[in-house]
Amino acid sequence: MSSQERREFIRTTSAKSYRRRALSSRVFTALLVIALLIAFVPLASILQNVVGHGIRYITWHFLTTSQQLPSITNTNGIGGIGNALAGTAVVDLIAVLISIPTAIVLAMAMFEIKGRWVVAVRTAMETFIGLPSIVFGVFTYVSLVVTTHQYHAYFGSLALCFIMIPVMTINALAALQSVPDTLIEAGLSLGLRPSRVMLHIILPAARARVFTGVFLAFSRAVGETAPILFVIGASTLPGFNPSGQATTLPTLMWSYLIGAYPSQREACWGIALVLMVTVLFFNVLSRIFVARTQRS
Amino acid sequence: MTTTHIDPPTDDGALSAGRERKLPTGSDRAYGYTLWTVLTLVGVIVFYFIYVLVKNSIPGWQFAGWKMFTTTTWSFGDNKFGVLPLVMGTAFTTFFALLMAVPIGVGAALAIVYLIPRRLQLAVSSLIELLAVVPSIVYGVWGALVMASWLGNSGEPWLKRVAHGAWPFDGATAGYGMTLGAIVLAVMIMPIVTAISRDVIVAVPKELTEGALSLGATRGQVIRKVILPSCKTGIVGAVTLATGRALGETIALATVLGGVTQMSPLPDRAFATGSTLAAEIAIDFGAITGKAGNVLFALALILMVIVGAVTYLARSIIRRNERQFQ
Repeated sequence: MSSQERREFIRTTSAKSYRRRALSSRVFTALLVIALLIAFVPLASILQNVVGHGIRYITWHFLTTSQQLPSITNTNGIGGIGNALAGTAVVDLIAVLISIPTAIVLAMAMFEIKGRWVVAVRTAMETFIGLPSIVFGVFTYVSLVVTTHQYHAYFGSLALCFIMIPVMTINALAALQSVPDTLIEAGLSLGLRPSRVMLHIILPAARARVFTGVFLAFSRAVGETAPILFVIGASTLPGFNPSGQATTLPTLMWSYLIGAYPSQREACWGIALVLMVTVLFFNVLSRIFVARTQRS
Repeated sequence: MTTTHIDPPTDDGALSAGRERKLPTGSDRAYGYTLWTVLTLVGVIVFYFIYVLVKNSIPGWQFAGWKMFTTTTWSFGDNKFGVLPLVMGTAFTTFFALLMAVPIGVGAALAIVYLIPRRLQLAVSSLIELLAVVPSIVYGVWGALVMASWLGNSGEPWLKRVAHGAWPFDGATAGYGMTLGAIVLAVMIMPIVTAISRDVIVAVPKELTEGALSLGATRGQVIRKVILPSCKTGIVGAVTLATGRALGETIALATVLGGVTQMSPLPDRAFATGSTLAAEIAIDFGAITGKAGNVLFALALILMVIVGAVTYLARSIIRRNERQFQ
C-alpha cells in the first residue's frame, strides 16, 4: 500500500466513522431533549390544575371563614379555610420556635465536640432525613396521644420537629464547617473564649447558609401531612390555642380529598394553591440566602 | 443549588484547629454544658424513638403472628394481616417509578447543562426544581382528581390495546392502581434526580470534556463515555435519595392505589389495585383499636428496615465506587 493509498484509506474510513458517530450523537442528544420536554409535562399539568381550578377560591371569604360541612341541602357550602390557616400558623410557628434553636445548638455541639457520641447523633440525624415521615407521625401518636389520651396542636409541632431538626442541623453543621480556619484562629489568638469565637465569629460568618437550611426545612415541613395527621385532632373553629386541637392546610386537604362531596374535592385545588404559594415563598427566601452566600 | 440535596459535612482537613480545643474550659463552662445538654437530649430522644417503635410493635408481631409473612391478604378490619401485598406494592411502585424517573431525570439534567442556552439554564432548572417543593398531598390530589380519570379513560385502555391485552396489561382498567401510583411517584422523585444530577454534572472538570472533544469525540460520545461515568457516584446518590422518598411516600399514594382487594390481593398486573406499607399505615390509622393498632407499628418498623437497608446498600455502592476512583 503506497502512502497515497494509505492516506486515502484513513480519510474514507474516518469519514465513515465520523458520519456514524455524528448520527448516533444526534440521536442521543435528541433523546435528551425529549427527556427534558417530558419532564415538563407533569409540571405543566399540575400548575395548570392548581392555578386553573384554585384561583377562583382565592377570595377574602374563603381565606377568612372557617370550614363547614356541606349538607344534602347545601352541597356547596364548604365555608373557607380560616381555621386551617390559623392552625397551620400555630403548629408551624411552635415547631420553628423549637427546632431553630435546637438545631443550631446541636450543630454547634457537633462542631465543637469530638467523639463517638457525636458521630452517633450525627448519623442518626442523617438517617432521620431519609426516614419516611409517617414513622414520626406514628411515633408521636404512641408516645404522646396514647399516653395523654388527648390531641393537641403542639403535638403536631413536636412531630414536625423530627422533620425539621435533622435537615437544619446537617445544613448548619456544613455551614459552620465552611467558615475559614484563619478566621477562627484569629479569634483564638486574640484570647477569645471558645463561646465568644462561636457566637461572634463563626455563627455570623455562617449565618446565611444556616438560614438557607432553616427555610429549606420549613418549606418542607409546611406541606407535611403524614406526621401530624394523627396527633393534632381537628378543629373547625379558628383559634390560635396551641393546646387545643387544630386543623392545618395539609390535613384539611386530606380530609377533603377523602370527603364525600364533590365540592370538597374541588376545594382541594384552592387549598393546594394557598399551600403552594406559602411553600414557594419560603423556598424563594432560601434561594435568596443561597444567592447572597454565593456572592459573598 | 438544589432544593433537596444536603451537603454531607466533611470530617477531613477543615477546622482541625477548632476541633482540637477542649471543652469546657474554665470560665466557658456554661457554654460547654449547654452544648453537651442539647447533644445528650437529642441522643436520648433518638434512642427513645427507636425504643418506642420496637416496644409498641411487639404486641403487633404477637397478634399477627407468622401469618403476617405467609398469608397474602391484607384486610385491617377483618384482622387479616398478610403483609406481602403491601411489600409487593411498595416494591413495584418504587421500581417502576425509578424506571421512569431516572432516565428522564438524568436526561433532563444533561440537556439542561449541555444543550440549552446558558441564559435559560437557571430558569429551566428552577422550574423543574419547583416540582421538588410541591407538598406530597398536592401530588395526591393531582393523582386522584386528574391522572386517575385520564388513565382510566384513555391511558390504560390504550396500553391494553397496544399490548393486545397480554399480561401484564390485562384485566380491568380502573385508573386507580399500581400504574397510577408509579406515575405519581415518578413525578415526585424526578425533580430530586434532576436537581442532584445537574449539580454533579456541572461539577465535572472542563478539562475532561474538552480533552475528549479534542480527541475527536462527538457530543454524544462525550456525554456517554466521559460525563456519565465520572458522575456515576453522584447519580447513584441521587437515585438513593429518590428511592428512599419513594419507598416511604404516604399521603400522595394513599388515595391513588385503590386498596388491597380480597379477591386478588397481590398486585400481579399493571392495572391491579393495591397499597403500600406507608400508605396503608395512614389509611388504617383511623380504625386503630387495641392490638390491631400495634400491627401498624410493626408495619412502620418493616418500612424503616427496608428504607434503612436500601440506603445502606446504596451507601456501600457509593463508597466502593469512590475507592475505585482513588
